[in-house]
Amino acid sequence: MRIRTLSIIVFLGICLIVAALVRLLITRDVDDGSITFSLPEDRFFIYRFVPLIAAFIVGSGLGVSGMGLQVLLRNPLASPWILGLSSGAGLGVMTMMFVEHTYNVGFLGGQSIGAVIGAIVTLSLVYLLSRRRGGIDPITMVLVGVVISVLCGAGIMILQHAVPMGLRGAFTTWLMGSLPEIEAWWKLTVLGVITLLGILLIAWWGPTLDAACLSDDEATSVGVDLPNIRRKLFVTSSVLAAIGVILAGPIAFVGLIAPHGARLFIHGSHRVLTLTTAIVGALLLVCADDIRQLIDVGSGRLPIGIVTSVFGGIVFLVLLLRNRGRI
Amino acid sequence: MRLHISDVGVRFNKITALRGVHASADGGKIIAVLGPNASGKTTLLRLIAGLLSPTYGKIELDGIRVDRMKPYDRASKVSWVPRVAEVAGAFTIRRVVELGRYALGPSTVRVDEALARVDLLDRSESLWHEASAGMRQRAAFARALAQRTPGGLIVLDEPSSALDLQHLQSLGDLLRRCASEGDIVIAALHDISFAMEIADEAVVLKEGQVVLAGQTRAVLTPSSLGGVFGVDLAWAVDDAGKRHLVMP
Amino acid sequence: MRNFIIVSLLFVFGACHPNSGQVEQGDVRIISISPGITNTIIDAGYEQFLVGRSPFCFHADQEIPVVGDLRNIDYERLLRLSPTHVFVQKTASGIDAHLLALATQGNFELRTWPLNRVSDIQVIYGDVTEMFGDLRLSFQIDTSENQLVPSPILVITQGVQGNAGLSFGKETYIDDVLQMMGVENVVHQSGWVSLSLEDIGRLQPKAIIVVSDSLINEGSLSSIRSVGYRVIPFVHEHVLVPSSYIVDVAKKLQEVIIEP
Repeated sequence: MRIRTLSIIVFLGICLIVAALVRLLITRDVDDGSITFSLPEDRFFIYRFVPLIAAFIVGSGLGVSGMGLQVLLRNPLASPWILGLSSGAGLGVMTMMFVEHTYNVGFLGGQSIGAVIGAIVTLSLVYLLSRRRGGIDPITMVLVGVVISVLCGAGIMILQHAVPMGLRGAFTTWLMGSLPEIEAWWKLTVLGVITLLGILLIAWWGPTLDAACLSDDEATSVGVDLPNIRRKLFVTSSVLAAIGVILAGPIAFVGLIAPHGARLFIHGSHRVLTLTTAIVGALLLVCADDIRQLIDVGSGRLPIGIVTSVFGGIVFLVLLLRNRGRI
Repeated sequence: MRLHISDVGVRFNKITALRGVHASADGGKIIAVLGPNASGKTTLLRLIAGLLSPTYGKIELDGIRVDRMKPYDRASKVSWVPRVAEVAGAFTIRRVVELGRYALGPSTVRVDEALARVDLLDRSESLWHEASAGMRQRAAFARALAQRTPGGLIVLDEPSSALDLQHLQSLGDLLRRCASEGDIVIAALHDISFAMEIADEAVVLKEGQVVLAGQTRAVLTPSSLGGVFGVDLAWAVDDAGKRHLVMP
Repeated sequence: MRNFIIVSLLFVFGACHPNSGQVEQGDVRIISISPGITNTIIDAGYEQFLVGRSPFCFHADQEIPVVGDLRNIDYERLLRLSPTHVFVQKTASGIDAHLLALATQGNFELRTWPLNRVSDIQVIYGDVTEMFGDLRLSFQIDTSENQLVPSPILVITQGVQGNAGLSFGKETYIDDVLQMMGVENVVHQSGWVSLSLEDIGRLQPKAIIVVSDSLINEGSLSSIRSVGYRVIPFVHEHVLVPSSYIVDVAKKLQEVIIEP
């Protein structure tokens, strides 16, 4: 790895550590809203540490998932949501809420179960419907993902009419995305380890991803087994995105922006790009969480999905205008 | 190395792109594939490169079906130069050429040598999307050069379409050099003059069938080509009788 | 032949026109596009006058046709129901302009009310009983200052796993009930407020009441319990929609929050 590249990665890592420290230190007075920077009391520390860990896991996972899908679909605007994952998981969550309400039963971890089932069913459908001649067809995959997204959205709207206001409100909050402030340690550990493995796998496939950026014929001629790498990339990217949805709901833009942010610094090597994207994704989400601690529009903190959408959208526009033709 | 094409045909849905193609070639030869648009040239080249499986028949390289080889194994035997090279993402020219070494292991020496041969060594850090069509075409050929193993097969689909005269001459020299090292070189060409200049043998396709095949000078004549293309061709030869200029 | 077909089609469509019956003088036909107002009408004893509702008016007879909600009104359906009165909740974005226009044209009487506070509910209840009954009535929320009721209190909806829901701040109907009980609301901001678990910890409520109109998710409860204060789940079908059923809500709420 070149010195310049290593310096950039170290710099981004330092930024991430600084952003993480800021998150741990921002203390906002509940009554007058004033901000101070200090370590919280012991019993409150966990309410800052858990969302920070979640931001690392979700941000890095979504970022690398987005990068993988942009390579798979040969589309710089691809993101985890283009496969209908967000809508599918949302339909799963909404269905679980409907079942719990209708049959008056409660499932511990019901939301997570609903999100997992919804994500698996959606992604399986997308995979099966976009297969052509034994392999995944990128264009078909995008179209199928959009259609399934719309269908799941319709399902969500139907179910929303059938549940009481409290559940509708809870679901609307879930839709906006939120980093958990408290979570079982075993769940964070398992999801964190899977995310790390997924990122390392995609990094390991880096040279193959580089070659897969050529046209199908050229990639095959230099030795890439395209159906195989597409299958592996689809599964791994989907798992990373699904973990993000399970932990934090559908958080917009991170999967789209993080790879492009990393590409500002890294060219030509998906191995290095993967690791950089993971850091940038985590950095984006931690910064968004920092920002939302500082903003109170009178009704408390904004949901993190709103912060990532607003700032992510602006950042993306700037990237687009500065790098026309390069994306 | 020996390439053998036995009674190969390709059908895409109800359209027959190619039918009844027989041919064989040994190492050390340059073979030009010519024909009107949509005559099946690219389809034939993709079959030879193992990028497409025939609907019937088979293409074998030293007795092994080329379309059934694993891409990783085939890469050391067959190099492919497309008509239009495409790269999604921000890659430098050097990086694109390095991708030719994907299955064979990195080699800065081979990459530098390939870049130098196509006159791109001092432009190798340019970004792909900022390169001209000619530069991209040369880079695609450099990639094949970096990838090739002497005595293998190089398949080129209209490699000269964007090249200026200087680089066209370089291309001819490079192809002859590859052939002299034992490669089978198969190139689809629109430029009949260039084909007559570099090719040992020629295959002419029309409507998916081979209509002419054999020694270049014997096959490519004004009357035979005029019949295939349906035009009157103007034919000029230099005093030494070596260089031909063919135009409609 | 073509003219015959057109005339036949016109005849068929004309015959399909619903509600071609006459509305007799004195008939009251109410459409309510607000669940809170619908519930108040039902509580006041005038459900028989309801001919149209929003899809979220779950407490009404579900056979009553739906005419849309505040954002999306099916005007044709509304008009076909020939309402004499249309009741709508006033929101920050104002009143639907076309609905206003239809009312101005004399199609029906349009009444709008804000619906955030107990006083708002009292006004609606009084207006409805005055319009359709003999007297203007009001309801009474029975509360008494009780030493066994903890104070201050946080009232919060169930949130998603790992996070708190929305809390009831000042100038909400729940806050009004708390004041009547002599209980302090820990939230000083107005309206519905989003608090983090750390915020809740710092506010140090004596009790946290997690309210829902349906089953409360165990995941939500465990997140709130992690803060370390007494957590009281409270399920009441009318707790999340302000209506005159607040009387029963307040009564049941007092029963559950009295300290053991």
